[in-house]
Amino acid sequence: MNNKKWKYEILKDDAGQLSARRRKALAQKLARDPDLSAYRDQLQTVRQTVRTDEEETKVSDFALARIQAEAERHVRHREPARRHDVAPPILAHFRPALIYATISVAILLLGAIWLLRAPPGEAPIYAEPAPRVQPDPSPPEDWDLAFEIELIELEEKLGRLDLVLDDAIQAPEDDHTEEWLRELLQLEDS
Amino acid sequence: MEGVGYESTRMEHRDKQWLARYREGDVSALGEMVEFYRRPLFGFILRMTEGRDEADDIFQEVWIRAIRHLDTFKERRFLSWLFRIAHNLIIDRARKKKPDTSLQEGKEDEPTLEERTASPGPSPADEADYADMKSRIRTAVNRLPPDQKAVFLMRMEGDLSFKEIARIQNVSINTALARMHYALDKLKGDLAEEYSR
Repeated sequence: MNNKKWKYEILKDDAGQLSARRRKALAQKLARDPDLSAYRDQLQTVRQTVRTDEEETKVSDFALARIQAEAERHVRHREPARRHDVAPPILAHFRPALIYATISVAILLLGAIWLLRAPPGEAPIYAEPAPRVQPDPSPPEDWDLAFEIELIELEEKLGRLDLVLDDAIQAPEDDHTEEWLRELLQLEDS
Repeated sequence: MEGVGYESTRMEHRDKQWLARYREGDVSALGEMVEFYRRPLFGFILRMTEGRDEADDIFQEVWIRAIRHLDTFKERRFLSWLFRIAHNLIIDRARKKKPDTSLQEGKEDEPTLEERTASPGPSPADEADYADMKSRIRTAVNRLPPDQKAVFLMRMEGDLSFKEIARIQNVSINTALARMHYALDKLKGDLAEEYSR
C-alpha cells in the first residue's frame, strides 16, 4: 500500500469508517512513518481551526420565522389528509368481517379450480368441449310399420303388373288359338 | 473512532423521534431540529456562499424544501439529507450566476466577500495568533476549487462520512477521498508558514 493509500486510510479513520483490524494496522504504520503522522496532525489542526464558531452561525429572525410559518402551514395541510386516513367507525367495525368474507370466497374459488384441474398431460376438464349430439340413424317404430305397408302395396302392384305382362306375353298364343279356330272351322266345313 | 458510529446511531434515533413528533402535528419538534442542525448546516452554507445574506436565503430554502418533502424522507441521517439539499441549491445558484462557467473551475481570481472581509488588517482579531491562523485557513479554503471545498467543508462542518459526501456529490468514495486529500495538500501549501512554526 503506497503512502497515498495510507493517507486515505487516515481520512477514513477520521470519519469513523475503518474497521478495528484496519485501525490497528494504521496505528502500527503511524508509529513507524513520521510523514503519515504529520499528515494526521495537520488534519486534526485544520479540523480544530476551520470549524465555524457558534456565534457566526446565528440565523436571522426573519429566516427562522419563515421556516416556522412553512412548518405550521405544512402541518395544517397534513391534518385533513390524516383524517382521511382513518376509516369511518361503521366501516372500521365491519372491516374484519369483510376481510374474512373475501378470504373465504377466495378459498372456495381456489378449491373449485383445484377440483376441476386435469391430470398431468391432459387438458383440464373445464376446458373440454361438450360432446356433440348426433342424430339417431335408426328410424322410429311407426316409420317401420308405414314402410312395411308401403312395401306390401308396392309388391301387390308389382304382382298385378306381372299378370298384365303375362297376358301380354300370352297374346301370340291367342293368335295361335285364332289360327287353331280357323283350322277348326275349316275342319267343320270339310 | 467507535464513538463516531455510536453518535451516528444516536443521531438517527433522535431524528426519528423528532420526525415522528412533527408528523403527529408537533411543530415545536421541527424548531428543535432547526436549532440542533443550525451550526453545521449554516456553517457549511456560509463558507460555500458569498455572504451572510445569501447564506440566510439558502438556509431558509433548505428547510422549506425539507419540510415540503418530509413525508418522503427515507434516508438514514437527516443532516446528510439537509446537506444534499443545500449542496444542490448552492450549485443551482452558482450556475445562475455564471451559466457559461464550469462548476469545476476554481475561483482563485475573484476573492469572495468573506475573503475580502477576512483579509489581514489592523483589526483586534488579527492581534491574536489563533484568530490570525483561522483567518488564513479560511482564506486558503476559499481558494479551493468548488468540489474540493465542498468535500472539505462537509467533512469539517457537518462531520459527514465520505460515504455520505460521495452520495451528495454523486461520485465514488475514492473520488471524495481524493478531493479531500487534494484540499488538505493545497491548504498545507498555502499555510506552509503556519505549519513550519
